[in-house]
Amino acid sequence: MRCSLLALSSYIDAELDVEPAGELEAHLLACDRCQTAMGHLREESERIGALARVHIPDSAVHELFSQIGLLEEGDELPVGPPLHERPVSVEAPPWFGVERGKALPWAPRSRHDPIATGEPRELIGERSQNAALADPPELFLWDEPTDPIIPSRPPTPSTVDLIPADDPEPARDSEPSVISEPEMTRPPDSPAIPPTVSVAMHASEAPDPEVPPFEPVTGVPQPPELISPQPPQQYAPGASSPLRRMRDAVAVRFALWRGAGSHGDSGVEIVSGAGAPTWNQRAHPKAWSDSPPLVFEPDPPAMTQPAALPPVTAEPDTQAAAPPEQAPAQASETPAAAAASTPDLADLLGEVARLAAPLGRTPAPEPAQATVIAQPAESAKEEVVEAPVAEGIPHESLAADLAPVVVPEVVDDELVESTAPMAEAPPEASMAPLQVPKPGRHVRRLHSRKPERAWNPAQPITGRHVLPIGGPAVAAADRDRRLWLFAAVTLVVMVLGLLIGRQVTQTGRPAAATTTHPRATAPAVIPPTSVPLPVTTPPVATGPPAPAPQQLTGITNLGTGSSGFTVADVRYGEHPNDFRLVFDLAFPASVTGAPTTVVGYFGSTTLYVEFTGVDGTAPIGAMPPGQVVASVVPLPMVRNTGRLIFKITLRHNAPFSAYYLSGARLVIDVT
Amino acid sequence: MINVSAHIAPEARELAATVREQLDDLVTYATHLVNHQGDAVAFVAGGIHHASRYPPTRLRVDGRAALYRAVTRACRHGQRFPPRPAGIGRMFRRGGPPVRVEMDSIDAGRINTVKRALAMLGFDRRAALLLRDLCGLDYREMARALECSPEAAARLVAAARREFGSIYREIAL
Repeated sequence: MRCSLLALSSYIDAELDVEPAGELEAHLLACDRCQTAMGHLREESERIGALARVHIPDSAVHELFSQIGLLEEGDELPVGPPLHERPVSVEAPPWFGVERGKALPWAPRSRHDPIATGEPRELIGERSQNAALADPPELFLWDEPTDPIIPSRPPTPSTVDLIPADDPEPARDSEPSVISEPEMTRPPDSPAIPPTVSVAMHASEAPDPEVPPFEPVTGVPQPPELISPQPPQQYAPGASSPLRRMRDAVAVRFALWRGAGSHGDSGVEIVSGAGAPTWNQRAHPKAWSDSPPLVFEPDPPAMTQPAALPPVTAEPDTQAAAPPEQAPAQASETPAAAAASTPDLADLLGEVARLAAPLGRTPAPEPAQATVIAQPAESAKEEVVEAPVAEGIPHESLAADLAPVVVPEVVDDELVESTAPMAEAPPEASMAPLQVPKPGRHVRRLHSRKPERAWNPAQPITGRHVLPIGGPAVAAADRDRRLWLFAAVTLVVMVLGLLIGRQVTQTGRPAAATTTHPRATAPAVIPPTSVPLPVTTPPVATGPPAPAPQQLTGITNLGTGSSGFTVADVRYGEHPNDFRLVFDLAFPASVTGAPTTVVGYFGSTTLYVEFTGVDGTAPIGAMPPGQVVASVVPLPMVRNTGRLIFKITLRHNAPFSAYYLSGARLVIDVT
Repeated sequence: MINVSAHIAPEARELAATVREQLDDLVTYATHLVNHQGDAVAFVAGGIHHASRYPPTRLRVDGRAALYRAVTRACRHGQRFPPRPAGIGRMFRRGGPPVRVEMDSIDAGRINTVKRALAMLGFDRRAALLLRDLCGLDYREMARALECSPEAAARLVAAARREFGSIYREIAL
């Protein structure tokens, strides 16, 4: 059997038949390469299988099914599968853990808990005497999502107690990195913290007397001081965060007032208005802001002082049970600290209101009563202040590191008394629950409010956001105002184009010629030529030229010399004594009179009717048989001469009389 | 003409029971497949909505593989429920309200090394790896879900494991 990755993969999945599986097992005994590959494949399979699971509660499932249409509102939800327990993470590199890393060339390192054994923990970059040289350094960077940030605790004595846990648990071996983290960040001059602190935070029984307390080893080079000896602030939202945000807001207002923008402050992003980058300069390197959101906590100032969140010390019984003389002293500092912070806030609010007033955008903050959380004496025996839960920290480490602390009962009275002057303070000086400015054109966003691509079903994700790596290329609609503007402009241009094009290409119906057919005096037989025919200009003369008027005999001159006429029709009428020809002339309304007309004989049986100032004629119909007029034919006229000649052929010589009737009708009576 | 949007049929309740059994796994699969939870829920809803048009016999024969096939197709082609407006009209009108599901998925939403390496795989290999190792489908069910033969599914899984392993070891060490 040859080495085959497909066979190995199928063997892992138990998809091989019995015979090939036996052959592969025999092959594995002799092939180290396939054994290594088998280990690799098993590791990949375990890693994928240990990915986090999603659980949807029944209420959400019912809602989802209702939206899809699988269930109705009143239907009962089918029974779902039992909730899977969270699998053990296999995110650790192979050298962690005994059972992992079989495919790697070095042997995995066994779990070693220096805290439990009382040995000082090995730090990054240092190597203890007992550490093997072949072992990789002990880096705790592998558990990326669950890497907790352990705040260091100030060495001040605590006024709180640890909650006695109902079910004290011993230290667990599965969390060595979390346990040992506080010691890495603890300053060397801080008081000694027993190593059981972070483990037994929720089990505040007396420390194990067998475990020696941690003491800095003298004579051994200590690591450099990585943090300042000042006790850092807890990352609980305190009074400093709103104050800092307000200060930034004032700085932005000043910058906008000067028109200088806010380029100097990297923590402020102006997304619209003056100082904001243009649309092509706007970069979105990340969809979140490093600075905390602008949320005004309605907590009373007394609770936001450091005394309200006292540092947790590790003395379970002797120091955790706060001395009664220290608690009032600590509480007595509370009104002083509150009074010290109140004028600053008042000045800040006044400054903001003064700056916002000329702008006419942000209303001045309304005075409100200070909210003081005063627990009833009977219900506040043990007030639990929950430590902030940082996302990304597992519950086990949270329970170990952020232990619930208890505000002692003795603090309550002083607390209420200390905050009473705050309630009676003038409105502008009180710690009022500020209203969060509503987003709009009048408010400049101080930082991006875009969500962190986290699952937040209550807030739909809109606007620009970066698609996840490897996700489907289904882009979210970028609903920007520029799109609407572009669409509106495009629509207007399209409508204008349609209108202009319609005007240009529309020929319209030509104005109807005001042709007034003069009523023939002769009654009549309505010839078929009475129907108005289209006016056609005769072609250029190619035949024999018509005789000049001087060549005619028996001439009759008519007309007034007007022009612009057209022979619309030639009608005839049979009368008892004569044969009447009527030339109906069409003319515009602006034309008056009649064209110059010469009627005369050219020979004995030929009459010529010559119009001057007539542009054309309609086709002439045939004459009735048996009459004196045999035919009426228009001669081809020379273009642009205005001369139109009709040749009237008679059957025999006959006298005529010609005259104009009203309405430019030429009447020729042939006797 | 067949009215496919009729009222809730008994087959829909049968489908609902099957979906209820597999819903957590489907959402987990889609979450790791598209690497985004909001999209995953929309795709799962789209897939289920599409699967509700399947013949009942097909659902009974294929079982959960039919559901995984529908969800895989929805993830591959971006078919959401409710559907998003497409074309030029998406600039002027919004789609329907997204499906909002409260779920416990904090851990699944985090990016870690495994998910980072998984995201570097192609869609087919990622789907094959998740279907086999996360959802526990056998090769025949994977063939139904991925619309290929069982042999092709086996090759996909083997190749996906090898590529994933190389990527993971490269970015993890």
